Amino acid sequence: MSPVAVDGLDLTVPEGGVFGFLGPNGSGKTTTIRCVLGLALPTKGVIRLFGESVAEGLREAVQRTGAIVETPALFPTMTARENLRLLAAVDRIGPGRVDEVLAIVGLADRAGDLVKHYSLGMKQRLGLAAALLKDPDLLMLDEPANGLDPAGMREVRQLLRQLADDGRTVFVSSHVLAEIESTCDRVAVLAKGRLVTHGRVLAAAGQWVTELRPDRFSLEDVFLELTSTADVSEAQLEQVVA
Amino acid sequence: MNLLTTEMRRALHRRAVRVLIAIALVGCGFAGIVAYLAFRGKTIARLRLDEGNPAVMTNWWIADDHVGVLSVGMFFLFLGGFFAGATVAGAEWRAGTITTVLTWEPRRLRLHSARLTSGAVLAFVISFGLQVIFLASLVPAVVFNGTAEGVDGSFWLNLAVVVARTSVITAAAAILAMSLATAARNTAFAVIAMFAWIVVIEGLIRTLKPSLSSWLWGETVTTVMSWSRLDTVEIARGPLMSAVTLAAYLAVIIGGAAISFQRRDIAAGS
Repeated sequence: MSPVAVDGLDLTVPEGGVFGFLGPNGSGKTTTIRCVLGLALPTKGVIRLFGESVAEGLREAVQRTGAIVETPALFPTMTARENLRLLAAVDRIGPGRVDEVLAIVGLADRAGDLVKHYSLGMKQRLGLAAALLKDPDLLMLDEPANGLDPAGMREVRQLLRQLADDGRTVFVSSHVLAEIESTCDRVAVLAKGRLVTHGRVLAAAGQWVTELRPDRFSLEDVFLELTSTADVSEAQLEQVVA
Repeated sequence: MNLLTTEMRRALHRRAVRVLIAIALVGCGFAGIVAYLAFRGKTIARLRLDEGNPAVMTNWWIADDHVGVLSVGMFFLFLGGFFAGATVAGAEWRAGTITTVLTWEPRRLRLHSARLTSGAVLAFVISFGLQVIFLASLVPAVVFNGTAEGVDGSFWLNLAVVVARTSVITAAAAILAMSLATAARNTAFAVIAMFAWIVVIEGLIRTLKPSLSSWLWGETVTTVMSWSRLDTVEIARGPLMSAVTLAAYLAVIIGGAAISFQRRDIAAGS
């Protein structure tokens, strides 16, 4: 019997804002994103995007969604601009939009370089540019800060905030707590494929407070309490979930 | 249509495809130079004595014998089409670009069909073009050293039919490889599986059970390529029946790959 990657996940992501999807490696974050995007088929349950069942209206939902799943996979032997134009052609998006998103992610000057010469951080930005091409209502980003240096991380954080402030919904999965804490309005914590908790993250009096556990003063405290436990037993997890 | 052209552009960007085309072009150029130099200063009568001499234009394809200079390239085109198809499909899985594309076009069967169609069209066009270039490279040998005597309308028609038929077989090889690589999610499986089947399994069947030979890929493809019944097979099938057999084999493999692509998860590192 194959192991269960995600079990009984019941989560609603509200429209607008940045939603953080937290969990240690192997907790099921990427599998969840894959299921939402139709890349993996859940054995049971219902996934709705924009209120419609993914099983019936995946194409329409995906058209309104930009995504990075794990490492952005693009053609190394093409330039960044060629890569984006190739993707844009699928949805008849004009070249003007390609240049626009390259400028948004700060790659306009390097758009003519082959992707194989890009650093991991630059590839990550290019992936973000690809996700933005459709001018999506929803962005699903799986570990978008992977490989970024501190300055790059800050830029991405600012960009995600800006996108959310423009009215988009940004769904970010990460195990980097600082990234989530300073960017997200709400978070959900996943451990061993199960939703441990979810709620708002609030900045108050110079400290990060979460409504998940008001007695804890940082998301890290909450996160560690709930998931730190690499050896957490099923019984303990049941207790936390309860 | 967008998806189709996009898939073609993606396929043409594969380094292996470009290298294979480059090798074929170098081969054509080399063949042209050799044909020109090898038959310089020889009389037409002498040239006619050499069987299949490319400086004698009617040797390019002898319709009655179902052979000709063009036969030389058929096998390589089939192999090239297969290898290119396997690479185009397999590399998508290795690089993970299949995931990226599916976040743009999530209807898997539609994507799979577009990829196979684009692969088939590209393989056909490239194969057709390479054969034309190959024949064009032999023109100097014919013009300066040889002869075009006996070339008439039916010769050109036969030649065009052979070139088109070989291109169709190249396209079939490409989509066969793409299907195998899609089902197994890598290039190596497609190449090794085909090699093992054709060389080992079919070799054994041919030896142990010769009456089944007409059902084998090797005999079937050869019959379709030459469009003539094989003398070497116990119960040889005609070219039309062989073409139908080939199409049936392809349909089963394409269908299996499509079902696998539709149903299986697109998992990390798959």
